[in-house]
Amino acid sequence: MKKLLLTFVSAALMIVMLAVPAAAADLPNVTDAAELMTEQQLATLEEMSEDIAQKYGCGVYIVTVGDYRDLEDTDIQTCAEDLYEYFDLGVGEEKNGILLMLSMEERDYALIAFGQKAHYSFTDYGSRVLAGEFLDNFRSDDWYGGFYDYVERSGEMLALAESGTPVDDYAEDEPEYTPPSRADRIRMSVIIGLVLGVIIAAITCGVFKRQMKNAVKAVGAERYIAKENGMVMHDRFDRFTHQTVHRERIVHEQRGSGGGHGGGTTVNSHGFSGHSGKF
Amino acid sequence: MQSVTNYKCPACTGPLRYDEKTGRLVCDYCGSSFTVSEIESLYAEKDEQAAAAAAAAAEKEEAAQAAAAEEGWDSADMSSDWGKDGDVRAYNCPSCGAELIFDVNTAATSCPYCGNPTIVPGNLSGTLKPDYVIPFRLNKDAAVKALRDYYHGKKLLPKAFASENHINEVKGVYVPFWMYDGSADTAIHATATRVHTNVTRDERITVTEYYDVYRNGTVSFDRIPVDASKKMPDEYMDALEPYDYSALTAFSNAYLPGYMADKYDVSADECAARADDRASRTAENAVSSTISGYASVMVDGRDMRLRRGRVKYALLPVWILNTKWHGKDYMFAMNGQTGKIVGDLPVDKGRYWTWFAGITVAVTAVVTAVQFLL
Repeated sequence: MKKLLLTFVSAALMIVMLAVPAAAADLPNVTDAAELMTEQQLATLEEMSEDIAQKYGCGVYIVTVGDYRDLEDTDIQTCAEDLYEYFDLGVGEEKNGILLMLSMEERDYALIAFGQKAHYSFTDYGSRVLAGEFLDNFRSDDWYGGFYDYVERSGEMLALAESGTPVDDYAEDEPEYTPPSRADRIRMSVIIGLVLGVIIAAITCGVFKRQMKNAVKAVGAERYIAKENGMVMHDRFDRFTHQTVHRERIVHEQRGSGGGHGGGTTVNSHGFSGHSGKF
Repeated sequence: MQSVTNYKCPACTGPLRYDEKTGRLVCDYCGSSFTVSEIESLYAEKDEQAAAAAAAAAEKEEAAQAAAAEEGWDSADMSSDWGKDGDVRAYNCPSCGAELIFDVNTAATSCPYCGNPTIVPGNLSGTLKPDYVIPFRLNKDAAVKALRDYYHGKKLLPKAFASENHINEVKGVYVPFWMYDGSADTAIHATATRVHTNVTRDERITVTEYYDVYRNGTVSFDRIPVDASKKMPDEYMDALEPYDYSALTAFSNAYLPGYMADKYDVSADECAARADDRASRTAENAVSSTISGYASVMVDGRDMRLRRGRVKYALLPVWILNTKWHGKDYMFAMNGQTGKIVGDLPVDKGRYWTWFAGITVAVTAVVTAVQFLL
């Protein structure tokens, strides 16, 4: 019965997408077509999302469907991108926003971001961190808990980005530095010194040894080439025979503005960043 | 008994020696000096007189031997005169009369009894006469100093080696060399490439052009030297090059007093292979060097034809010290014209490992200290 209902709501969303002109469409921040949450929960999330959108100029969206394939897409990430574009989601001229989409049929999710600010705030690494916040809830069917964490953490990430330190792997990926102990430092120094010492000693003694022998058989006679007409060229040519052409395609990888220390955001040709997976 | 010559001062009959600085023959007893040509003409006259006197003496000796044979000693078991067979010859020193035993190839040496310079003219005359000689320009003092300098700063040289190896026994030797003129016709066929790369927004386009390259040329050589003495290691004599050929002069025995000299004991034909090898390598390199401006050159074929020209025989000046250390022979040679020195020195294993350990410990200490302070 539940499955039938889910299918019906998904179909309704598809009808909306196919029938309603984009300009007229107005999707709320939280669209629960899969009916995973109560009205109260939806209202709370809607309010939180709205506050964040107004504060940081970046929309935070939630869409749940029964089966994304009903919307005639081949994968959930493409489906989420189509939804985002179709309903003209995002805030401001750049249409900044982040969308979390759940498809219940095979427990798929997609988390996508659009716009310069969103890319800067939700880096590849940050996007994974954000997913880590809600996936554990979803795996235990705690839908509201997962969405709450998603909205709350998105707000925190936008705040960090606004202060100039978006969540990226340049900071959080590095293990905490613990200075080596005194004994370790001495041991390491002696080993490095010993290796360097042996190398330098071998090179130096090799030079000393070479100085002890300088008698070498001559192999050439350059200095005996006649002063006059030492070399006379009788014939010479350089004939072009053929040529080969090798073409190598250059792959451009678009990078966002976040990070810069090996982190950053990978943006696809449609202008979206993000990832998808199972929960 | 064959005859040897030592040039005597026409003024006081003291022995003459060639002086490297002035290029003249000088007498250390009365201080007189003479040009090479003056002594040559004086001794040409004396040689004629000596030849007549020698013929008369030979006749007289034959008569005396015939008389002695009638009632002489039984010498049937004695070996034959070593001056006639084998690798040695016997001569009388014209100064002190001592009997001198020389190697058959020796052309100039000094008498071990009176020290006077002695020349064996027969070994450097007729067809054996050298065409050229480069006179010594650096004297024994310079050679001794150069050797001392050569030892200096050699960290692995056994300490006792320099003091025990009789550095003052360095000898000036005129070493026989063959000098080869010739040319090499060289043809080289190669495939060469030029590469152009053009980068657009989406593509890197690499165009490789192939060329059929041909070069044909002749490289001529003047006087490639190859030492003609078995006693002298080839690598030592090669390493002494180059000699300044502008000092090449027509040979005269008058340049030899005061030095040792050997005639060649390796023929020009036997030495030719080394000259050929050096010439062909150089000719190929020279012709190959005209193939330029390519990213790569792959030689498909080469053709070499050597044209041998004149061969000249020359004596070149070398200061030599032969010494022994712990049962092993060591030789040092210095170009008597330019001062270039070559030689193999013994390595003190104790010093080697002391240096090795010392450097290792020092570097380890420094690196450890620096790492620790940082």
